Amino acid sequence: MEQNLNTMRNRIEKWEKLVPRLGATLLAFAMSFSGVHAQQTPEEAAGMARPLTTTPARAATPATPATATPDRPNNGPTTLRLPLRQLIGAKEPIYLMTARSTYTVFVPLSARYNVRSAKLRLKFTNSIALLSERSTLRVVLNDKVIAQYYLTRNNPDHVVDIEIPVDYLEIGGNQLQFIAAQHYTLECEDPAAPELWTQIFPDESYLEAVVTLNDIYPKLSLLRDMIDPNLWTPYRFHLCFPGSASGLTDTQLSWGSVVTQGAALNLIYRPMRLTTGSQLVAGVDNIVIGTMNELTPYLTAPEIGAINGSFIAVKQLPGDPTHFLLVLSGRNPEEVGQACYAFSLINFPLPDSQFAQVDSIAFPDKPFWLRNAPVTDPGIYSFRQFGMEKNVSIRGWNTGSVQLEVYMPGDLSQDDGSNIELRLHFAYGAAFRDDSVLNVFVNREFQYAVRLDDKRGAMHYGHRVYLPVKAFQPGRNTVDISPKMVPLITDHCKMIQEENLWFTLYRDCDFVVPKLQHKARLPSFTLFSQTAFPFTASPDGIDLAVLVAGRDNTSVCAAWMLLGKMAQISGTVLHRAEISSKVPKSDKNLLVVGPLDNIPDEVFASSPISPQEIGRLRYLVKVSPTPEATATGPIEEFLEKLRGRPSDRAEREDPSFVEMSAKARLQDDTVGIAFESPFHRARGATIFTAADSEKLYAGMTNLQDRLFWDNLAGNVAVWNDTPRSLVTAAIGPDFIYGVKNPIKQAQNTISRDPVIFVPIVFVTLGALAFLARYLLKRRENKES
Amino acid sequence: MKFRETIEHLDQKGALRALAIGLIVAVMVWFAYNVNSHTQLWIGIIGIATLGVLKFFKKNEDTRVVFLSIASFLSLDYVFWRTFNTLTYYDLISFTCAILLYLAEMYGFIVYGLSIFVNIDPLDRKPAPLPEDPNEWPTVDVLIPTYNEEKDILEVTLLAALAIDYPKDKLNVYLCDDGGTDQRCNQSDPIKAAQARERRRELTELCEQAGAHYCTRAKNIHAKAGNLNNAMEHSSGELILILDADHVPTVDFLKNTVGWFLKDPKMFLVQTPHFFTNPDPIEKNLKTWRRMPSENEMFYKVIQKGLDFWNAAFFCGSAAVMRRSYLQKVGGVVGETITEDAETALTLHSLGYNSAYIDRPMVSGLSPETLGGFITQRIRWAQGMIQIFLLKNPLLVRGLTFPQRLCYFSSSFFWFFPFARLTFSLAPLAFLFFSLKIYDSNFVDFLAFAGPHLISAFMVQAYLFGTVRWSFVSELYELMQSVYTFPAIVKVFLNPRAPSFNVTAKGEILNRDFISPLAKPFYVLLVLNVLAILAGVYRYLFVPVHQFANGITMFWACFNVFILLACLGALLERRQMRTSSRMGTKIPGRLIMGDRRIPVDIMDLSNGGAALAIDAAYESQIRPDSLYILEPDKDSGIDPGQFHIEIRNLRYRDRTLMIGVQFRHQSLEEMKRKIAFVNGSSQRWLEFQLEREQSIGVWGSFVYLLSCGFRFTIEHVGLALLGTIRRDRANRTFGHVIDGAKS
Repeated sequence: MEQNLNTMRNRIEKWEKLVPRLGATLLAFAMSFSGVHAQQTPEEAAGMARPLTTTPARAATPATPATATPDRPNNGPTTLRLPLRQLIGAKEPIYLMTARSTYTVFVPLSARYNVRSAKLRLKFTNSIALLSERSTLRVVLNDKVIAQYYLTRNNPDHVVDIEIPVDYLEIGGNQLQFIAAQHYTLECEDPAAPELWTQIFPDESYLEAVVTLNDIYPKLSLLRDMIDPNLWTPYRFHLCFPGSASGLTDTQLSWGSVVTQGAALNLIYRPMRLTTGSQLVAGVDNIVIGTMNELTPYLTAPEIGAINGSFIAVKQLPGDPTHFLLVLSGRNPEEVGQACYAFSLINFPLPDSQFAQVDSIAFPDKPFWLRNAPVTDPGIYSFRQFGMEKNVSIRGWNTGSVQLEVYMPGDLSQDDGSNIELRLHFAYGAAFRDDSVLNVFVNREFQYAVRLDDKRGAMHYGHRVYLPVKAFQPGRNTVDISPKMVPLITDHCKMIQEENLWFTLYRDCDFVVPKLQHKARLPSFTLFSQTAFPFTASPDGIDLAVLVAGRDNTSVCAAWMLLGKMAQISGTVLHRAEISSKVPKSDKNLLVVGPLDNIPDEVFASSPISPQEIGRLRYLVKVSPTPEATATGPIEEFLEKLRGRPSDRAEREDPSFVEMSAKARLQDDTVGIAFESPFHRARGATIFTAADSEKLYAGMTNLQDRLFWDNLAGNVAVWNDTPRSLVTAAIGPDFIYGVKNPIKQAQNTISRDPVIFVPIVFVTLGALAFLARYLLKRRENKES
Repeated sequence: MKFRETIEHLDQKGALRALAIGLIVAVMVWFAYNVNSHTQLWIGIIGIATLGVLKFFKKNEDTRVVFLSIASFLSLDYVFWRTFNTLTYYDLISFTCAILLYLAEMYGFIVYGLSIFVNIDPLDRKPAPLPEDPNEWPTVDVLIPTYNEEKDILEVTLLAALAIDYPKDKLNVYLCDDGGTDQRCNQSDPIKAAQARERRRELTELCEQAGAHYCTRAKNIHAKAGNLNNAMEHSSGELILILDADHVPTVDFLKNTVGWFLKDPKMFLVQTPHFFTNPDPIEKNLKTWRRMPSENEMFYKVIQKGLDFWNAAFFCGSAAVMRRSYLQKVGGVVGETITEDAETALTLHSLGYNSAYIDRPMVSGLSPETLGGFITQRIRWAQGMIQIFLLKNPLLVRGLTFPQRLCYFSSSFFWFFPFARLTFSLAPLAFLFFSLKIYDSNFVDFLAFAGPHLISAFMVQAYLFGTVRWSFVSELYELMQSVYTFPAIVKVFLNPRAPSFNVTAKGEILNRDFISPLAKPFYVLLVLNVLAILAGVYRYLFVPVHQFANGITMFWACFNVFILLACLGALLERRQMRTSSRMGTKIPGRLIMGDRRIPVDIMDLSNGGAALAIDAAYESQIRPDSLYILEPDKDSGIDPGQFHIEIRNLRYRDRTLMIGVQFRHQSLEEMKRKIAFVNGSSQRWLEFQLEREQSIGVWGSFVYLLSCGFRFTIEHVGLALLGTIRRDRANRTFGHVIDGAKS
């Protein structure tokens, strides 16, 4: 960590310009991901996108009408590279331990690619204690061995290129397995010996494919496959508003927002790149939006004749059959809006035709999500509702687990002391060793274990497991139910029977949710990154007002991309969000996206730092560590024993800074600041800004990267791509979301700190008791 | 000064009080709503520690309110937490059970809260002095309603009433006989009709001889209330003293009570405690009489005083003086319910009249001898109070002050305890047998919220009632009653006007031990709870999940077993040979044998006889079965004179010769004097009560009741196993053995 900080300190001088307050917290996250995005921008390299679309600045210039492009764009072979790291999404290396070990990754492949050739560059190293003639690494693609290597002790470092037969690849998902057989002796051995290991380096290993693009089939029902999360590169598309030559109106901003969110949702968590303009651009998918009159140049006569309401049509981009042109139109703005919304509903049953007319859209009575719907109501849920569709059987020592994906509401209180109960129905095999267990993890943190210690095997029905609600976080959570089965006989030189190591979890298990407490302490970028809260407090976005501070297309695209990312996180289209280029002052949460100079000063009214301060210089320094809590006394120790865990303490030490009063302007960084809305109490406001619109666009593009997004924290964040770095800090006061009553706010402040609350309670009770006594005495005197 | 005036002004308007109460409640609710478990843990620890300190300053009235405020807050915290955090829907059955348990707990909390309110500042009212000139004293009619009591019992009460120290021209005693009404004398059953006529004749004769008035009526309408109202029509005293047939008054009764009617013209009632000279069946069967305070002392020693503070002391059917004019305003004793006493007081309170309670035992009565009689009495009380709850709900009756509403509501709502008590007895089974989720909590939360609540509730009980009600005794009495009062309460709900007045049997004689026929449901409860504990042990050993819930519910079931064992002990009915218990005393006197006067100490007394301690040197001079004269010294201002006695037995106690004697009065006048001597001293009753008023602490009470429970349950089981044989043999031999259970 110290080394990282030193490295970071050099970089800080260039880009770190935040103002901290004394006592503010900072998470400095300096990243050096040279291998992650070192390859060329794939579509640029492949020539899939025409130069006009490669940067927002250029995209902002009038796009070349598709009709003016050459007959067919260059669709020559393109080399795409997909680092293994992107497929596992974790920071840790891949380790293959024990005598037999398997690691599986899923390799996406889009139907839009025509793969000409493919290879896997694999870098790995093995233990020098391995017996070369018996230790091997197999690489298996979709159950077919594509390579195998000896794990040699004399030459443990390997870099190999594995040619992948194109026929083995499947559209959609491919299962790529690394299976290690590792031994250190020809005699009997300990299969779990620590010297049995092989490490694969996911940053240096990658898949490479030479592809061309397939022609698209212009059918609405196939749109979902065209906006494809299985692409190896960020999805690029262009929003064309023919009626926006003089700048986008608020209505068009809203249309673009909804369409972007719809596309983003279809991409699951994959990133996207977006441009906009009044004309089509070549080399990318185009979505043209406008009323029937505005779109006349892009529609055929039969199509115009068919428009009798909200209208959706898809066709090949003129002159480019590898990309589509999607038309969202109607006779008036309302119908256009409806068409946009219809497109955004990824579950909407779009017909198997080139165009369709949407008459109306009926909504459910309750708030709804398109995916990632959070658990809000108390009650009994089945595992099926969290992705476990059927019984799961697991065999072997260390071969798998059952994962549930549970989404929690954004305002889930972290003070909630209740428990979630799992009622597990499971069976396990006979002749397990006593230390066989069923482990339960929440978000990779161990929570509970059940011993599988009946040597005759057993079936449990309704075995209750309690998971503290505090172990869950707002947004996505994983509950991992992982059996660790050990054979009864594991001595050296004895045959080890594994065929008895069976565990079945039945699909009718229950997930019992208590009444959850709702309390969100804001501002919090952590919460924003987990659930896009508070902007997604209502899944239709009714509580959200977006100010696009800057009428240029680049700033608009930056705002749309941010909204798209929020849609991906929350699983919903914020179609009722108010989006405008003027300061919205309705009683809503405020999201501001724009270059710093374009943001009105009034928006900064309650910001913990002012626009001028954004550039103040600051240096992180280390001081002697301060204790997280005062010396533990016997009472505290007793309480800790009772509670079974240590007292709540600060999660991290407050950083110390040397501050300079010098000021500087933002340069290459993008900044996010969250605070209480200047216009309405208990509402959130968040500003995303940069020195200019291009840097803002770049910043929003980077923000889609999980390495930035997932590490957002505090309420001030500054990030940059060159060098890749993210700094976060908590500055300024916090507030309870939605709690406007000052008394309620006071109660939240007071009640969370026993040192304040307890004396107040007793002093008040004493005072009230004496008041009561006074009244009683008066009555007594009167009676006597 | 200005501030004071403002306060005075606000107070006069009642606004200050309302504001203060509102503020107190609001702040406590606000705190309780906002506390989290970690903070609550601290509040609980500090709160309990503070209560522990404050209990040593019990006599300081200021700290009393602080004590009760802190305890109330701890319980309020629990209620909020219980309501908002522990009720979770898992499945219909679990939720139904959870709600039942929750309602039972909320019942307990409401009764507990009301109890704190009622008893926050009990009023220890002293007798108001009467004017020196007896001519200014009001006239008093003593009404003794009777239905089926024996003549012997009535005779004692009647003569004691006539012996009350009050101007004879201002005192009239009426024996109001509902057993000799025209309706009963002319009933179709000739034997019963003859018995009624004979009763009427005997009692008329008794009244004539004693100087009292015999009063009966044509029909038995409206039971006791109708009987009293009939007597009121035939009498005219300004005040009315109502005495149950077995309630023997002390001579100072009227001098201690009438003064308040002169002092407060709006006074309609002066109530005094009911004091019993024999143990109730539970006391008798568990042998706690004379060691442990009686069950009714909590009500008469503390609660009535608390009610009196709020001007809500109510009429308890006897041992009370009432103003005729006010009674007549509401048409006499009101009889819409079968607890006509409380109903009448409620009605008169609602008209703005006042009541008073004087905590001095001035009647000595008889408790029911058998559990059957005891339960019959409690069913009547329960049904009557539920009738009031339903038909004259104190929260809705017009004219009552807010504290009066709460006080009456407390008195009537209390009688829902059978529901709560049975729920608590069965709730652990839901989890231990069926794994139903009835209480959703984790260990820390439970510890933080329920722990302080439970501890403070015990501390409050000890604080308020410690010397007059030992810990766990309420649980024992309530569970004993619940099994039988619960169905009776349900009946009232189904038809609120259906219950009829059942007279409590008094003065029964049981000539052998037997197991009460009421025991069977308690066997079932005991077996279920024991099985539940075994199920808990099994779960602990073989299903190692929910250890916390398992532990709590096992503890709970163990507590139920502890109470049920005490119940079983109490269900072993002991034989009872005396109708009147002997009360301990120490009055010097002389035994006159011809011309010799031997000094004696009278060690105990009853209407039948006495125990005399005498120097052993006189043993040779005393002849058993001989007739002598006893001449006690003056006691409590009463000059008893001389009594004829017969020596019944002699025995030694610590080198002192104890002589058992029986009174053999030679005239009605002598009998009157004897009754006044035996029953006439309220000071003696007071001293007897004070002897028992002691606190042995929660743990001491637990050990005491546990030992009683074990000991008498073993006897119970022994009798159950051997009793059948003995009963068979007894039936073969005598055939006529009275089966106390049947009586």
